Amino acid sequence: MADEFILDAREMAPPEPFDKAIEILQHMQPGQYLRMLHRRVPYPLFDFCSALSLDYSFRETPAADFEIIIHFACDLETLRREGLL
Amino acid sequence: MRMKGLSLETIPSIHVPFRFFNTAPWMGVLAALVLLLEADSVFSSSWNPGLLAMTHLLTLGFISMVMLGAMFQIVPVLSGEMIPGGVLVATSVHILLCAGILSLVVGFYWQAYWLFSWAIPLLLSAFVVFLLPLASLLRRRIGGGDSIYSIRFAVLALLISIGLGLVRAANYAGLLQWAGLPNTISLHLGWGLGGWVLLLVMGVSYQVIPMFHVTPNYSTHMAKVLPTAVFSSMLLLTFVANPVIKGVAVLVLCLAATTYGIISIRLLRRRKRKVPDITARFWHMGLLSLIVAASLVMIIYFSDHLFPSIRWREKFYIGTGIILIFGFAVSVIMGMLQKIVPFLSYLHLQRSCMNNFDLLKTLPHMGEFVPPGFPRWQFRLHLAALLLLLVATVTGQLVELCGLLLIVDFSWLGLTLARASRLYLSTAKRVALHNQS
Repeated sequence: MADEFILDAREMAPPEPFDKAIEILQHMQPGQYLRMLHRRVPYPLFDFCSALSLDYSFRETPAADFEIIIHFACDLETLRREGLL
Repeated sequence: MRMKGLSLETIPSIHVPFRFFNTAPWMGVLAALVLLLEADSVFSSSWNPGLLAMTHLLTLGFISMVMLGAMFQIVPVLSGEMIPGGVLVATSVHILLCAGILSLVVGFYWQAYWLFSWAIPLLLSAFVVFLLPLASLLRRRIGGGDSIYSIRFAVLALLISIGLGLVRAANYAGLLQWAGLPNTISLHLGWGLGGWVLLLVMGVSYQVIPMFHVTPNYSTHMAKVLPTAVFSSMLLLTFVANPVIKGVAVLVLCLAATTYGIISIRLLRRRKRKVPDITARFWHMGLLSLIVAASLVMIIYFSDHLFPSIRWREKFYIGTGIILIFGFAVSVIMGMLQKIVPFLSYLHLQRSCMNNFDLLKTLPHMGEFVPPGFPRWQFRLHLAALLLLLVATVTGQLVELCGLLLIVDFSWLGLTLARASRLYLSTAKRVALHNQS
């Protein structure tokens, strides 16, 4: 089972969501993933994910927010099994 | 369809919007200088050459200068598509616009209307060079949702306003004797302020108020109904002669502006972060001014015969113009600039640290680009300048003081933005050196 970091950025103003996410992502290890809740798709963050060799996916929630999952490629199957992707 | 989010992969170079943003405040300073030099007569009539010069320095030099710069930034970000031509188009538009505005204003100020034969081609070229690539993008089915919906109307309104303005300028210069549409001046003003400025502020606010001030989103329904109502009313006012229909159009236009103002103020009151944010106050000042101006426009249209004299009617017209231009548009733009410039600076610097994450920690925080004391003083200066402008319009007194206060108001903004741009440039240079080594 993968360890989850959660970052609820729905009530944060820019650039706080980016700063907090980068802080987590830089120290994340395989077997861990970040679940971020955001009011928008954080496109600038995705470029940094690629630079850190992390994969990402996002989906719109019923409340019209976005859930973003950022993870290591090796954890893809585990996260799928857990129904997160 | 509500947009899925901002697409920041297509952002243009920071120099594109910054050259417009850094020019605009100094056009405001020129407007203030005209006020100072023409203090004796500037508010005597809405046809006063000094007042016309000052108005165009504010509407073209400040408001449109910032809005064009912002369009180069916001349309690609919202739609995910680059405006064709990029830096070359932006540079050409900036140079042509500056030269065109200065020829127009000097022509008005010294009543040297022959200068309009320079101003017309320069301004026409500036807007054609701006609008052609933009139109090629906007006529396609692109992302951007409610904002792009309103921006499309704004661009059409700009086109009409510029067309009417150029016809008037050609008239002044003796290049054209065309009776054409009656009320060309009122329509030029209506399409410029009620169309271009209001519709663009609406479109931009649908993104920036929820994003920067962490408020709920505008309802998609209202976000489409309001710009449609504004644009349709302006069309009716332009092409329909029936006085009843015209009256209804004015009513709808003013009610749409008022509704937009009330909805936006209510959204700002529902800010989820209760930290003090002075730039939200600029929105409040601007939106309240819009609501007041909409009521005054209704009074002018429906109760014009009630004014005791022509002199008072003129004062009322000028006062309404000041509330709409200086109270609404300039306030909102000042607030937005102090939010957008730090945001863009930080965003661009972040991206330059992609290959060296340690550098991210060394970047100045967003709040360092425009420290809180700067917008706080800006707000005090701007509010004082607005109130004094209104007092000067009504009483004809304190106009020199008003001119001085306006110089300080716009210079303060110019220095704030220059300071932020300098910090961006020095940091970008440092990051580039690190990246090279």
